[in-house]
Amino acid sequence: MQNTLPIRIRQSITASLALTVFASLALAGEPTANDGLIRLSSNENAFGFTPKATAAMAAVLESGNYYNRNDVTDLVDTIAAYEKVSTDYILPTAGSGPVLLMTAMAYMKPGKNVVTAAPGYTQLTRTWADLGGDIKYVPVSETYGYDFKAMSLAIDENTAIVYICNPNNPTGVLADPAELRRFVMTVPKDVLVFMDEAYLELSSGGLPANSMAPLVKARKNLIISRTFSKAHGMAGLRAGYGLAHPEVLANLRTYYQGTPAYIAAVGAREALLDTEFMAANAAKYKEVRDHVCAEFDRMGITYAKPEGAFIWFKSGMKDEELVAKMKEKGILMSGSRATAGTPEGMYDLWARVSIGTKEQMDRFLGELAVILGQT
Amino acid sequence: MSRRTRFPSRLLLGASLAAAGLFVSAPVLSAGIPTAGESPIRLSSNENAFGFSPKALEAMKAALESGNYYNFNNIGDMLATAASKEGVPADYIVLTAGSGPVLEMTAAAYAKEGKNVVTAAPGYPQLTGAFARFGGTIKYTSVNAEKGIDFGAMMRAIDDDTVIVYVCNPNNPTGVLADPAELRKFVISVPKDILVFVDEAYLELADNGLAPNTMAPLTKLRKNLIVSRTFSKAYGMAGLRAGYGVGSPEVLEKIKKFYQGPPSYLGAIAATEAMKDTEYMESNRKNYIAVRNMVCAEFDRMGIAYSKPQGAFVLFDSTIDSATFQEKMKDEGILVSRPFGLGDETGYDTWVRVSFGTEDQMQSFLGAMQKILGKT
Repeated sequence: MQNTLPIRIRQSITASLALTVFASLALAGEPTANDGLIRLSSNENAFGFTPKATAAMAAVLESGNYYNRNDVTDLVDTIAAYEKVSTDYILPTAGSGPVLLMTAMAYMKPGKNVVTAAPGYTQLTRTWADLGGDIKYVPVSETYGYDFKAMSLAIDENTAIVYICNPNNPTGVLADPAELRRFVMTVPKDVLVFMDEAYLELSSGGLPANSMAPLVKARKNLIISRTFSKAHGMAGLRAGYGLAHPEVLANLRTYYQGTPAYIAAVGAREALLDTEFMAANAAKYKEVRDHVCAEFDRMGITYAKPEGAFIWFKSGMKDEELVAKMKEKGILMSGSRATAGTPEGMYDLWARVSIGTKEQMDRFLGELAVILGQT
Repeated sequence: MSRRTRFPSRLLLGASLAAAGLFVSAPVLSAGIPTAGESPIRLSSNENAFGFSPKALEAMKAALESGNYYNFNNIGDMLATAASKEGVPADYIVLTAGSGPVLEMTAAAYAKEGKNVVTAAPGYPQLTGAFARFGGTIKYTSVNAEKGIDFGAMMRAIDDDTVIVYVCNPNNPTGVLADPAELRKFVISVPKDILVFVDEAYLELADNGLAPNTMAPLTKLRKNLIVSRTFSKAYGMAGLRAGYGVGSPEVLEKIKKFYQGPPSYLGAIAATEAMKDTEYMESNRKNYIAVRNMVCAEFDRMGIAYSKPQGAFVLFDSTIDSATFQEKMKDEGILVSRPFGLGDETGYDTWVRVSFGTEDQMQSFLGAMQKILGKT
């Protein structure tokens, strides 16, 4: 269906979406579910979301003519209980993207900078730069994880935000929680620490071992963002939230543009309550990650240790070429992407592939072997 | 699950939504308004009691399980359908979660200290409220004797520091429709360095519908014009959050700096189907016309003053203190609103806005009103 859209419209979608919110997703012309293509490009959850959410959403679908704000307050109550904070620490949004964008909009002043990792996720920093701010990139460590010492050193008197995505995107590497906690506690209190935990439910140890959320009660200069798009498998529904001291959220609210749709709030609440489904989903991710890593090891392919919904690996082939060849085989994936702030060409031979089902990954691995001449 | 149980936390969220200017009909801001299908009767937020197109419902049902994908095709389909409906290229459209974000983005992009937005009083305060939040000022111009927008006064209010003129047509909360020729002339004669924002949230419900009244075609002639539309009102999809702005690519580029995302894929699917189902829209408009006429005839009979409604609500003189009237209505199980966006206007102390519901709901409202006012 998408492919029948005129070029002009596709370009316009790119212009209006890729520009900002979905900046790092290659969207336009990307086919949707059930079109026979294997989508390993946007870190969507191939295992789907809890059937309890489907049932709950189906039951209220007809009442969409009302604003149904109770659904959003019910969601906020559930989130607050889940995070063990009071409800004024929660700002519900349509995906976590708006939390990143509101933060950039609310904190940007000309001459101020954001400290971030390179490579790293660029949604917040790109908006920051679009609005006229500076970005200070800190290279990732030898194992493609965060170099917190270098990050601390990069903070200067003009730093407004330190942005951390954990596990990092696109490298997938998880921070050591003790080291990260110490880092958060030592960032000067007038600098906001933005902790994007989009994939953290899928990591070894999950949220309990790794989340910085408990620190929001101790530190006013900390904000955590979560999304229902990844581990919860609800990318299309647009639900997420920011978690921070009410004073931080008050800054963001100046740019607040709205809650999730009621139907997304209903689905997200069920997802949060179904901890069993989440645990099963995280186990599937771990199983498939381990499988792909074992295959990469066998094939002699270098990769960064994945702890999220994707693997960053060195195919040895130019990323655009690999992506194009994979597309010919019916598999969508990403190039090295989001390498802003890294030396020109440094990651040209790297690419990011999302974790799909084991069957999808076996298709991917088979095609990769063919493309790389390993058969 | 008891939706009726209220917790203090809800009040906080209500307050935060209020602070964000999201749900502007002030009385609805208070938390604890029950959801659809429950009493009290919600005649406070201009929700559509007739519901949305069954085709939209079917399409959403069919797609419900694919929500794990971003499904940007659905966004693409909505964009193509909106562009074709408006008769503009796709790059003249920005898709949003309701029309609220178009108003908010515009305020964020244009507001500066010392700059002002010109608007009607009373008028819809979401854009102007955000504009003030970002440090700008609001210049109000009183509505005319019929409570319609006074375009002459608005033109005179424009000064060197004006960056936006905001027009909601039909005006909210007065419900009065602008004369299309006069509005068109106004849009064309506003200086080109000033943005004209025409909020057409309720325009599909006007007696003669969208076609003769919309300013959207002018976006191809005037780069200083944005028209916003929502699927929350005439299309009956308030909870789904879908809407869009129409404007030249130049003006949209400016506001997109503050863009926070498209509707959910379900909102996009429903909106696309709803736009295609022109027959359903036509029947919905007829529903509104019938109820409007019924309520106005009853107001006439009761000797109640009101401004001529062309949207999803009517502003009327309850003849008693509006807060008291609102409380008494609530006791009768009916939620109504008080006027907003008054600036420093006076004279609305006894005026109330009631949304149009089904005929049965309006009969309940009229019955309660007679009881409250001691009229029969």
